[in-house]
Amino acid sequence: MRIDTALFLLFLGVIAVVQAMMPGRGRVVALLCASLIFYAVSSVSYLILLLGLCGLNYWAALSLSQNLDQRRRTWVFTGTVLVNLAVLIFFKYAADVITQGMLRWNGHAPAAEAGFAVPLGISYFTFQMLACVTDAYRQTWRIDHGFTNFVLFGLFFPQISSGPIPRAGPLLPQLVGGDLPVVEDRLEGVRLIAFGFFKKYVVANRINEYVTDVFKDQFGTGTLAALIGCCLNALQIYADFSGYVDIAIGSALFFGIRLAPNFDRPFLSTSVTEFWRRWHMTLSFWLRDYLYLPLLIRIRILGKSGVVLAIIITFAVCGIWHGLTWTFLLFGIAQGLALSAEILTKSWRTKRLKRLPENVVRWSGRFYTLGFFALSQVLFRAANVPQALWIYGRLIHLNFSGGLAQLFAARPFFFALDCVAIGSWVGVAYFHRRATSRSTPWFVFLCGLLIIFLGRLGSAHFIYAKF
Amino acid sequence: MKWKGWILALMAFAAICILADLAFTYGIIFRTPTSDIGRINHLYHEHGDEIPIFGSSKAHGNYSPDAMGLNAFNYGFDGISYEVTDVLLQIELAKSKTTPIIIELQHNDLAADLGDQSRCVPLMFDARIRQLLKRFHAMEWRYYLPGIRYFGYYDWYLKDYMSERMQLTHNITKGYKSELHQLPFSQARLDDYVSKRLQITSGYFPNEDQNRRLIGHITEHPERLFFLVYSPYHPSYFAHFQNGEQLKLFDEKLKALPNVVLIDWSQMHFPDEFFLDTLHLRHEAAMEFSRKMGDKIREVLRERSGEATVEKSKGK
Amino acid sequence: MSDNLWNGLTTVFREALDNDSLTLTEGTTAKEVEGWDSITHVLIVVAVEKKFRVKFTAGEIQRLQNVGEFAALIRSKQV
Repeated sequence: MRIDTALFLLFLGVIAVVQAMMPGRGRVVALLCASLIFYAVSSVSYLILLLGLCGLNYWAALSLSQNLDQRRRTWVFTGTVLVNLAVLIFFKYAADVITQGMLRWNGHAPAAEAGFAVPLGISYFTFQMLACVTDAYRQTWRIDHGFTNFVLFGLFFPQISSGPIPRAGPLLPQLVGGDLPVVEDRLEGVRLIAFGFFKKYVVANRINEYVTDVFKDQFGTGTLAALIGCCLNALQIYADFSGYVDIAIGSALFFGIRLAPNFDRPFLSTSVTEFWRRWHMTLSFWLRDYLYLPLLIRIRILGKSGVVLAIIITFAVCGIWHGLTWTFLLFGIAQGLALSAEILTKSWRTKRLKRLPENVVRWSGRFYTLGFFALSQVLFRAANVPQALWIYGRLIHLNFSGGLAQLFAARPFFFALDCVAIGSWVGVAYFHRRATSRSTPWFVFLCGLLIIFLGRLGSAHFIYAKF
Repeated sequence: MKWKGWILALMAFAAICILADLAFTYGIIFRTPTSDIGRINHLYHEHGDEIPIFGSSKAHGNYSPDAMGLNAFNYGFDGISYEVTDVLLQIELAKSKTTPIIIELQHNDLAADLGDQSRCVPLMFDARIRQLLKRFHAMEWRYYLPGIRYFGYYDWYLKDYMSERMQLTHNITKGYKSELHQLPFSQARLDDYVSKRLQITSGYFPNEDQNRRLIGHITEHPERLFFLVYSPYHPSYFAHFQNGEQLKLFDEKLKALPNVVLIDWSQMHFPDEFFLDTLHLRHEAAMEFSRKMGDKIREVLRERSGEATVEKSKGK
Repeated sequence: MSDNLWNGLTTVFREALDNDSLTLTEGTTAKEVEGWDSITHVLIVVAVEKKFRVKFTAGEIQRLQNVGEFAALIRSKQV
């Protein structure tokens, strides 16, 4: 079940009614059943797999919470982490590798039906489970809930498909409370869902058509077209992913559960370092806590070169996690290099920049951050390295003939509508920040109208759904 | 919770949606005679002696009724499968007309395509259209709900309407669409298409069910003369053509029907400058083709009416 | 608490954070000090390890909550 569909909204409504009729503990069971149904719609066999993994991780977290001897704890911890990672790597990469291998070996790929689909949300689920087990191992968190509660935590339907990646500490106690949500939470959730739908259908899907064209060689070698394509691409990824996250967080909030925020107005960041604290925050923080810091602590003796090495490794892994391609690897390494450069020049910069007016520093920082992000996102979108290089080439070899006029001439009527649609984002966002419980119906009304009249279907699923 | 706000907002929402739906349906969609829906609408309401021309983009771009010098109308639609043509044919055959029918035949229909769905939604009143959508698994619940059924398609309707009003991109006469800004011929571009064509398989890959239905329509309507046409392809299309023998058999089968005139001009020699790509003709070439086709059809009709008079006089 | 340890710790922090006026209390946490993020935290740890000739485990470093705990940890290692 895709969460950007009317069916999902209906599903939310039914669950809400059923839940409201249940007494205390029944409400938790209602959410659990909803989560199981949500996953089973996608695949029953993978549901069983995930339940198995829940069982393993639950057992591990439980034994790590008890005081065993250190040797045994290390074994339990390492074993569980390896199993989780093995499942993730198998499903994320094995299918690809087998296909590629067969292509090399006997010249034809296996039939599509023979391949296996990636289980829904396996990446996010694995991250979530690894965090639990690691926290239990570090003894910064201990499990004191039953298995069914843990399953609800693992498969909680608003967040299972693409995050935000939850931590057991803040989320588990909320899930098992069994209280009915307060009206304000419900309404805030509804507003977020409406806003998310708006971002996805009106903004992201519309921008997508331009970006697809620019990346498809539709507009030749023009520099302006490529430049606009890069900027729109960055905007699309943000609209698409934050739209998804808004729906996810809103759906959880509709049941009174607060998930961790995933975006904090990232485009206002003044450095790439800050950007990663405000963009896909749950992933950034996860990588920081469970990969980067442990790694850095182990190689801390290398001093600043250790910092750089740890950052680059972390972001390279982050890149590869998106997919086993050179473009994603380069994307990750580019982020790592930018962050390293920023850290190494930090004190030097602070001294020099003190003399400049604060506003100039802030805005040039934003310009640089956004520019870097838009450029690196080319790697994220491009099908392969040559395509990304081709886009970069167009940016470097200045050529202002035609390109832009063509970009808009291809869709003269749509262009005006696109401007209205994308421009309305500003207005809707403003309304969203100021909306109260009282004005919620009218906020939903506005989003609904914009979606019906300006929304575009687009065949694409959420960009992040495939990771 | 204050329910009053919700009820008001919902009512306002529904009212605006339904008003917009009505305004679009009657003010824009059916007021755009040159759009795809406008042409289908024409098909519903035409009961005179126009000769209908059916087919996919090859029909749409190749047959100009004016150049053919016939009282005809082009019902070719870009990117459609025979399944769609079949529905249009059913609409035509339900009328009490006796004009001939021209159908551009396709060699294969493996990548069966409904084409643009937006052209079906306003026509949901027709059970045949609903069935068509279901056959392609393209039916959605919202198509039944005026107010939200056009979600995602408003742009398209508005675009058709505006381009007709402003005559910006193309000129449509009797269903034939001529692009006003067709790029000048480029041998390099065509060579590119040719090299791509040579890499993919072309050939006759029949869909038996569709063939059966077509023959069924023809035999059930002996009062109508069917011109079944293969219009010109670029020679590269036939470089690696598969199942040619089977195609010949099928053509023979069609030819054997008394009310069929099969015109196979697929290998007619046209120079490279005539081709938009390996399948479609450029505007000037379409004019040339249409003139020839018009002459051919008139000739056949003359012969047939001659035969008919002879037969009639024999009967006396 | 020995002044020696406390002064040494303050020097390390001042150098690492590039802030000469920084004063530490037992309850000081990373959040309260500008520039004390996860990276400088590790750099501070490295400097402390060098200065006081001690060695921490990964778990110890990650569990640190405030300066007081840090000082206590150093003292426990020095004994």
